[in-house]
Amino acid sequence: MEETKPKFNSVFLIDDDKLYLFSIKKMISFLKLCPNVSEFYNGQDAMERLKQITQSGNDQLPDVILLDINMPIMNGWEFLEAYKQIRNMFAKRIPIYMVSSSIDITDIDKSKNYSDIAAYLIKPIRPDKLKEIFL
Amino acid sequence: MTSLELLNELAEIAKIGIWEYDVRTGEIIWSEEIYEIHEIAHDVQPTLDLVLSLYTPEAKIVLDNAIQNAVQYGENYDLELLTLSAKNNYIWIRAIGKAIFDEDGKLHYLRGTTQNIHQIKQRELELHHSIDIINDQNKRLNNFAHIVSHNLRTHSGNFEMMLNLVDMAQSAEEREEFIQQLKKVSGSLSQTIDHLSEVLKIQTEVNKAKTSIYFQDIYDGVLQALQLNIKDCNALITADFSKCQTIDYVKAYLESIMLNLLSNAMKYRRSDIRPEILIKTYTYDDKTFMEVKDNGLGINLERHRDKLFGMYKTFHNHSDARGIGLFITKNQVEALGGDIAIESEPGKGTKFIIQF
Repeated sequence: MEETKPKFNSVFLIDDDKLYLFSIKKMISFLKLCPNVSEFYNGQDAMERLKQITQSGNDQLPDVILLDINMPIMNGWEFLEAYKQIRNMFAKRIPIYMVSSSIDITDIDKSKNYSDIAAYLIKPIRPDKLKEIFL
Repeated sequence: MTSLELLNELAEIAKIGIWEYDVRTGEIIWSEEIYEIHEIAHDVQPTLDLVLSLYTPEAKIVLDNAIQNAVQYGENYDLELLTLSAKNNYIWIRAIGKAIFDEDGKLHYLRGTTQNIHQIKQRELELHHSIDIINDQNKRLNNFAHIVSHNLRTHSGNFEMMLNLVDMAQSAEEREEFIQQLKKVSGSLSQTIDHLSEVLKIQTEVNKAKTSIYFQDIYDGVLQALQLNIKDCNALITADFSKCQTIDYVKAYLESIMLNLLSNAMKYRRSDIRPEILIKTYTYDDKTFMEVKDNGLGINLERHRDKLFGMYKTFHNHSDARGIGLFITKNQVEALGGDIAIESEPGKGTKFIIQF
């Protein structure tokens, strides 16, 4: 079977649900979707990493971000607000996928207000959907 | 019976009286029944001042306004007002007023009826009160349904993803690893269901008998339960129940509320200073309050106020944080018709104020 070459070299997974992180990482690795996977348990840890990267030449910026909404310390929305402040320092546009268990229409509508959001995905993320994003 | 007698009978049965106010002379005539409604001696000569004095201050303003409008613009009125009778009884009445003009179009009289509608009004008010309670319960139930759905979705999502992995497993060992993870998903689902049952229990236990409880007794028990925590962080806890010593409440709730707030105050302490916690009770405006104030980490309320009492919401990097304590506390307080408020500043401390 011929494999499509993955679009992305590096992904940031931002989510406080460790069981979800475990599954999504395994799935990415099984499907050979992305060689470099970094995980963060809240928005702030990810934000700090991004800021660090901007200070060391942007080489290690992720190509895509999967972002949860409900997280302690800094949630998904707060991450997006903080992200607006630093994204101009990036040479590329990084698609952000909102990934949440919330089917609340206000969440879904809110995500449309952010130009950085590529799509709003409702958990669980099935292998087919994951391939769609990464291939 | 003559028709006049019948009319009088009608007035008495319907508790309705008629009056006339001569706008030009200021003279007022009342039928018998109006004296009855206002519980006033029948030989009293009514004046506009007397009429207005028979209403509660709020109703007086409304009626005065309606009479002014009737006199100046010929506007009729139909109002439900609370009166205070000559014998100091509160009675709801329906007041109808109508402007009567002369043939030349000039206002001459105000004429109208006063009817005792106390029983009907009383029932209406009770009904409104019930509707408020039902609305409140409905809101809580809706909120609960939303929480249940969201939480079950999280776990079922994890089940599905993990089962996908089981299918994808390339070796027996890998498969075994995923089965182990499945057990974790199942474990956290059970835990969530336990937490949700706890909340449901709160709603159903509301009707449990309230007893008169001494705050000090509950406090002693809670301190006993928290002994190790207190020793561990060397907390200085001060209690002052002198301003309000007892409360009629569900004992298990008060224990749970106090335990939660005190253990939270210690859990989210600052590491650089000795934790100091003050718990006190008082009454204000006929209501009982309890405050728990600490000098701990505090919380940014601008960012977190709306999520503070939500299920599984945590705000600090604390390994023990489960996001269930304040959620339960709020549910317990509200189930018994109370309210919980918070004041806090990051780095300075937090104060929870419970109105029972």
